[in-house]
Formats: sequence, C-alpha cells, structure tokens
Amino acid sequence: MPDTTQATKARAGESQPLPATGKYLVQLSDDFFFKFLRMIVALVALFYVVQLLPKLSGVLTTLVAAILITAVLDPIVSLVERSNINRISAIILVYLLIFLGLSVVVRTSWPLISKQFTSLAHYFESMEADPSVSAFDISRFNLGKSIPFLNLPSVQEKITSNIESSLTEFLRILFDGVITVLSSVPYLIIIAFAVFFFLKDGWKIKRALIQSMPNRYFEMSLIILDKTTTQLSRYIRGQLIVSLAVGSLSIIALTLLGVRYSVIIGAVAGIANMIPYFGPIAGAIPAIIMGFMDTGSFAMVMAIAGAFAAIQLTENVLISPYVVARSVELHPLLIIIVILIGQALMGIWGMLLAVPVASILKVIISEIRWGILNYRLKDKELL
Amino acid sequence: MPADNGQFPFSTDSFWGNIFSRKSRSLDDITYTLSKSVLFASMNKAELQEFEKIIHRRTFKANEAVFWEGEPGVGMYIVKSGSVGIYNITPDHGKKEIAVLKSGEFFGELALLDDSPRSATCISKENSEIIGLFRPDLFGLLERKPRLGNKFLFQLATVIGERLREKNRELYAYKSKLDSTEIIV
Repeated sequence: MPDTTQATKARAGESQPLPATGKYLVQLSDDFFFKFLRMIVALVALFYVVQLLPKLSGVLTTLVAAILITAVLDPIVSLVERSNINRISAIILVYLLIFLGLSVVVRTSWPLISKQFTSLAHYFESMEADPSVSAFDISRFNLGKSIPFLNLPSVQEKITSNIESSLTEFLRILFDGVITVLSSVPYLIIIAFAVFFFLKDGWKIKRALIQSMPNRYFEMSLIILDKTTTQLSRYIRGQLIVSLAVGSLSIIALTLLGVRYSVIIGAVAGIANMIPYFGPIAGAIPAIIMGFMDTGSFAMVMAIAGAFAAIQLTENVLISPYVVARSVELHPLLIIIVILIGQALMGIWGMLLAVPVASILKVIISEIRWGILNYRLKDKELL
Repeated sequence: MPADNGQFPFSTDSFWGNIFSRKSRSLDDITYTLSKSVLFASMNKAELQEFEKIIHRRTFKANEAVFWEGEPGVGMYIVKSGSVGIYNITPDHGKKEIAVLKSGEFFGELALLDDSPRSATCISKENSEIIGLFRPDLFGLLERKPRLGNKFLFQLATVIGERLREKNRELYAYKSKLDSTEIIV
C-alpha cells in the first residue's frame, strides 16, 4: 500500500517525496470513487429507513420512552454508585426502590382509583345504552335567576349537550389512555429491560456515537453532545418533577373538595402542566366543570379555581425555579405557534408534545450554532 | 491486529480508522499507555480500567490538526504512538513550533479545568494515535467515583504546581539577570 510506505518513511524521519502525477490522479479518483460509493450507500440506507419508519413506530416509541426514563434515572444511579457500589448493583437497587415505591403508592391509593374508574366505566356504559339520558342537567342549577336567557329550554339543551359531549370526550380520551397503558404491560417490561441496558452501557453507546465523528468535528461534537444531553435530561427531569408535584397537589386538593374523578382529573392537570400558559388552565377547566355540574354552586367553582391558583403559585415560586432549566425556555409567542402546529398535526397529543419537542430542537440548534461559531471546521489540514 | 511497527490498518482514513480500529486492540495497551503517564502513575489496574472507559482513542494522519489555537478547550491528550507538534500561529498566519511531543507525553491538560480557548495549535507530525480524556467524561467520573476523580485531580494539581514552580524559577532567573544588567533607559 502506498500510504503504508509513506507512513513508515515518515516514522523513520525520512522526507516524504511528492507522489508522481499519475499516482496522485489515481489516488484522487480512488478517493472520489469511495466517497461517491459511501454517499450512494448512505442515501439507499436513508431511503429504506424512511420507508420503514411507519412500520417501526412501536419500536421507536419504546426506544424514546426508554431514553426518557434513562435520562431521569441516570443521575439517581450515579448517586447510588458514589457509595462504592458497582453500576449494575446500583441499577438493581434503584429498580427495587422504584418497585417498592410504586407498590406502596398503588396499594394505598388503589381503592380510590378503582372506585373512580369503575364509576367512569359505568357512566360510559349507561351513555352507550341510552344516549338520551343526560348526566349533567343544567336546568337544575337555577342559573336563570342571574342569567335570564338560560331559562330558554333550547339554550339549556344546547349548553348541556355541548358541555356534556366535550367532558365525555375528555374523560373517554383519559380512560382510553389509561387502558392503553395498562394493556401495554409487555411493552413496559421491554422498556424496563431497555432502560437497564441504557443505564449500564449508555457510556459505550455514547462513545461509539462520538467515535464515528471525523477528527475535524470530534471535539465540537463531543461538547455539543454533552451540553445537549445534560440540558435535555435536566429539562425532562424538571418537567417530570413539576408534573408529579402539580398532579399530586391537584389530586389532594380535588379529593379534599370532593370533586368526582379527582384522581383522573388531577393526573391530567399534572400532565397538562407541561404546556406553558395553556396547560394550567386546561388542567383546571375539567375540574371546575365537574365540580359545578355536581354541586351547582359558584362557591365550589371559586374553591377549585382558588386551589388551582395556589398550586400554580407553589409551582412557580417553590418548584420550577429549582428544577426547570431557564436556557430551555421558549418565547411565549413561539410557544403559542408551536402548540397550534402540534394541534394541527396530532391533535391533543400534538399540543402536549409540541413544547417539549420545540425545546429539545432549540437546545440542539443553539448548541450546534455555538459549535460552528467557536470551532474552526474548515482548512484543518492546511498546515 | 496492529502491525509491530505501529502502523494502523486504517491509518489512511481517520474516519473509518476511528470506527474500526477499536475492535483490533486489547484494553491492556491503553492501560499501559496511561500508566506510563505521570498523571496516572499512582493508579492501580482497576482504577486505570475505570479511566479506560472514559477515554477516546483517535488516529490522526500526518499534518492533521488535533485542535486549533483559540478553540474552546475540551480536554487533554496523551500521545500513544507517533508524535505531535505544538505551534503558535504568528501574526502573518505562519506557525512557530513550540514543542514536539512523543509517545507517553501529554498536552492540553488545562482544558480539563475550564473551557478557556486553547493557547496553541496541535498538529500531528506523522500518523499518530492519541488518547483523549475530556472534561465532560471526567466530571461524570467525579460524580460516580469521587474518590478516583479526586485522586486524578490531585495528581493534575501536582503536575500544574510543579510547572508553576518551574516557571517561577525561570522568572526569578530572568529577573536576576535583568537586575544584574545595567540598562540605562
């Protein structure tokens, strides 16, 4: 091989003669041929990957879920590892703690959850059996006293059916969501295994990924990958902690106020909280409607609204400043636009995922921009 | 398998070389290279193997830049085989060689402490294999194994302290020379 000879000569301290013109041309064309071949192979591979994507959506969802859970658990495992415990034992210990924690939570709150789900299931059954029966009759609230036009039967009927259909739709989405989660237990087992191996061998995967970068981009890629993963895992952890806190506080507040389906509605308020500005309102509305429908009292509405306001205050003052990374924050106008785009593309799920996805993209783009501005990517072999 | 003369099977193309070269090597030669360096001299095999998990092996062609002056520093490098030149870029865009580093020698260690811009350019003088230890990985190790991380940092501080002492001695020598010379401005 010509390069081997050159390298050996260089090692021996000899001067390297310039290659003959013909040889140089042959080398150039070889290089060009291999680059062209690689590009073709890469394009064909990309084409097949794009073709396969819809069929692989289940695998991708599992993988994404595993990566998100790994981002949350990795610092906890590292913390356990600090006490001179090897990584595998640390992972097993964290798994055991999570299993124990979940068992305690499920065991203590199961009667309440079960009761609410049974009641919700009965409600759907009765709706399917006789759709004309209305569970939410607005006429019994005597709203006509303060708002006279509500006395008109047609207006009452219209309002009742509108509220009922949207609330029913909301509860049905939730119910179906929970059923989907429960029915995908095999997937949860796969995710648990995937998370275990991501936690154990994540460094190998990261290193293999970075190892494939050409020298010219190596340092830049390394620092971009590190900054991006650090910010994203902090963002995901922050969102999860905030959601858990808001969800738990909402469940407690709604249960104390005696709102029907408090666990389900509180859990939704926690998840919806991930959407800035809209989330907290979207989380409170079902609770307010449910409370009002059941009691017909404005005092109840005020109590629920007050409880949600207090939860938001707690979240904004005591929780978010400590757990949510400021650098990931988006401009309010951009948030509105991405939520609308998410809604147009994927409905409710799109709205929920729009802000996290946009935040992730923002981090990746800003870090790549930083790398391009700070690293010399061209003319690296000039000297 | 690496050839006895140290030639890499994929040395003509660092892209593919960096991907495939790992498969053909044992871990022991890395721990051996690390143990030769003063920064790792006091570590046992198990500790060196922990570092083996966080280091990166890179192959560079002759005249290929490892990093450029002014770029944000990410970490340090140890020359495993071959040699590298450390250069300062002159105002007329030329290069002035400051040092040549060979197998076992290390450079760029200050970048482990912060991301200040690199003070010099490093270019591989021949086909070389270089081991890189980078700040994010070291910080990860400090979180997971603080005792081992601190042991390394202490060694790094000792090396930097020794260099500072040497520079102080040089400075003192220059100052004495300057004092003994009668210069009338």
